[in-house]
Amino acid sequence: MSTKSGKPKNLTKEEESLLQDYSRDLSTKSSALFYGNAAIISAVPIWLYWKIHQMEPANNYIYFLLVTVVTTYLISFAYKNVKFVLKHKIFQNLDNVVQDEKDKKNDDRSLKKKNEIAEFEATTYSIFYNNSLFLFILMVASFILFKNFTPLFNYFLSMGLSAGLLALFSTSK
Amino acid sequence: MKCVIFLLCALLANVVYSETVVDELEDAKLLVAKNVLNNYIVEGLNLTIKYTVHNIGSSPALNVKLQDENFPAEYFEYASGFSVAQWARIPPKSNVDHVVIVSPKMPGMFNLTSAVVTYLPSEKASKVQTGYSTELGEVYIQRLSDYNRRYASQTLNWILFIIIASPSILIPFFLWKSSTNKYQKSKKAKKSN
Repeated sequence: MSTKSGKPKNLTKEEESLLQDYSRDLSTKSSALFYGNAAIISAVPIWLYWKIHQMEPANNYIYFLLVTVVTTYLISFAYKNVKFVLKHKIFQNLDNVVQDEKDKKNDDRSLKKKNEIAEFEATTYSIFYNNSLFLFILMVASFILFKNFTPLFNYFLSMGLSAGLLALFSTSK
Repeated sequence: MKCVIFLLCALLANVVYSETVVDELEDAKLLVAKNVLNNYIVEGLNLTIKYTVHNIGSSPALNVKLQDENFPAEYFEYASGFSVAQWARIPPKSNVDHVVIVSPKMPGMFNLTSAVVTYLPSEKASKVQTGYSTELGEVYIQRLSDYNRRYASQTLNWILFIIIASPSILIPFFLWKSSTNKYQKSKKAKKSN
């Protein structure tokens, strides 16, 4: 019961664990995984623009750095959203596959196991799906849509469009 | 009488004309064509220039010297050939070629003007004759990066890009797939039991 001053009551460990499972918030490990992967996939196009569009890193490192930081944020945002939606779907589909003789008597352990599997599969699939979509949109934008732009504008527009669309699509269910 | 005078005038004009034409072709006359053999002129890449010297006269051209100061050292580097070519004798009704390969040092617009040819039109001549080759006018020397972006083969770069990008896609996919397969197999096994 909340007091008259409006302070919330302290949550039990089970309630906190339940909230964590059903919220969009990520654990430190998940955050690190998402930001790390997002940084890698944001940095990969630098090779493309250096070797194929002839943008020398020595002259353009500031732009590369700036765009990589912004796209890392947008891609990790997309990872988080897609993972959240997928996790619940996978959880429902897991059914009783993880129950064995011992776990039949222990629903909590079974639930925890299912949660871990759903978390793992949703995370890996989210990374795979978003990385593939990002690279696909980038190829189309860079070599078809913005083909005749100068390399620098091509880089800004292609990366911005790809990461932006990724973040936008991830907000849908 | 009038007819006779007219005929005499016509005959005289014909003789004068014939002698004039014969005089023009008696000595050597050199025509020089200057051509660029490249499709594109690119900074840092070889540019091939071919000079063709035609002697359309009836006498050999002597002490022929072809000189082209159009490629100064600050803008061009000579990869092959020289800016000066000399021939002791170019026979009548024949031609000779001279090829030069240069490499532009910087991009931008550049004016390619005529080369100069000097020669003695006959053995008796003491005055040197000067002629000029055709000129190419203003040409645009492309940046190497622009040329590579448009025309260079990028096969190796694409292969390397695929190698760099593949782990970001394949590793998460295989992890997801192995987890899915593992629990699909367990589900099938339980159903069959």
